[in-house]
Parts: sequence; C-alpha cells; structure tokens
Amino acid sequence: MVTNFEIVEKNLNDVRVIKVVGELDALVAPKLKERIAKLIESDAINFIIDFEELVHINSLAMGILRGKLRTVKEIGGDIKLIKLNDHIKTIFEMVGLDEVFEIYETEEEALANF
Amino acid sequence: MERNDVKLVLPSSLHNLTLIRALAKTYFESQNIEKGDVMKLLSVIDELATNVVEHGYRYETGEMTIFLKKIGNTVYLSIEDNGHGYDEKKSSKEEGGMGLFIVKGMVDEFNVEKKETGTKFNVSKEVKEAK
Repeated sequence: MVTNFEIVEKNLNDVRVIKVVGELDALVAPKLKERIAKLIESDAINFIIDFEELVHINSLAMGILRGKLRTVKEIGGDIKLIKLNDHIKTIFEMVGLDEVFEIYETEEEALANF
Repeated sequence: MERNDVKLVLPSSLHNLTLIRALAKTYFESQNIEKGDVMKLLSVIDELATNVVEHGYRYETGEMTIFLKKIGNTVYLSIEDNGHGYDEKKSSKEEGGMGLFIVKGMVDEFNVEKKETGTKFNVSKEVKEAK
C-alpha cells in the first residue's frame, strides 16, 4: 500500500530541522519516532519540526512527539514546532499540546528561541 | 440504503488508513462539504479506524465496516468491528490515549454501541457547505 509520507532533514547550526511531508498516521508515525531516536543517539538534542507540508496528523504521532520532547528536555534540549496549518493547530489546542510545545510561524523565529 | 449512503468493508489494518482517508475524502467532497469540515471528518475517521485496529482487533485479522451518510447539513459516520469490545477503563499505550478525546471534540454527537461481539462507534457532525 502506498503511503503519502516523507521526512526531509537539514542542519541549522546545532539544530536538526525535520520537515514532515504528507500524512502522519499510525502506520508511519513509528518511522518518525525511530528517526528522532536515532538522531538523539547521535547526540542531537535540539530539533525544529516543520509542519508546513503536513496535511494530516494522528494522535499516536502527537503522543510520540510529546514523548520525544520529554526525552530531549531531560538532556537539556528542545523540540520546537513551526508552520502548523489551522486544522493541526486546532487539534494541538484541543489536547493541550499547544502549551507543551513552543510553536512558531517561521524557522528563523524558532531558531532564535533556542 | 439511500442514494447518498456509503458502506465500506475493509480488512482491519493500519495499511488501509491511507485508502480509508482517500475514499472518505472523495465522498465528503462529492457532498460539497467545506474543506475545514472535511479535514475534521478525516481526522475523526482516521482516529476511529486506528482504534479498531489497535483495540478492536489488537492487530489481529478482522473486518471493519464504515458507514457514511449525509442528511441535510449533518454527516453521520459509523465504524463497526467484530473484535474484542470497547473497554473505557482500559488505558491505551503511553503514546496514545488522545484519539477518542480528539474525536469527541470534533463531532456534535458521539456514542458507542457495545455489541455481543465487537463495537460500533457512531458520530454525527453538522457541516458547512463548500462555497
């Protein structure tokens, strides 16, 4: 079965920027979890997750992000989110994750707040 | 079934979530539903279908049936399984647990029918028309 999901990465200073493209459902969410876990293993602690091209997110994926935020905060890092569309912003607000994560409109803004 | 009723029967699998969302999106758009409401309904259907795979059948083989209909400005959506049954007290794995909370927040009515074997989730939501 074809999935519409892709992870695109780049480094900005010491921050790993992960762009999540497509539909992040319960089938593909573990791939994001594994990728972030691998990056943490290789000493990355600061992340920006870019949702500009994300059209769907499942609660499991949000739970994974919440778990990874806890992990990186324990080692002095952070995960900041950028460019959430209105629908995804509404879901984050509904479950209170808008108060757990720092959410910004732009990459520059997020970067300046590390 | 009425003219604009849809019934989808699929194997219970996370691999079918993309297909379910694509079929439901086509249905909602054919009913001229506004984009924001389509997005909400797709989240609802995705969370409920994931719930069937995870809790209804516990990742074992099974069948899920999805019913969609629109009467006036209201969409009625049901997802039925013949699995282990719904237990409100049973907690989801640590990363989950938000799915049904999101569903309840996005719809106007939510109810759970506990069947002899399995569960049927019924929701309804008033929607706006696409301009």
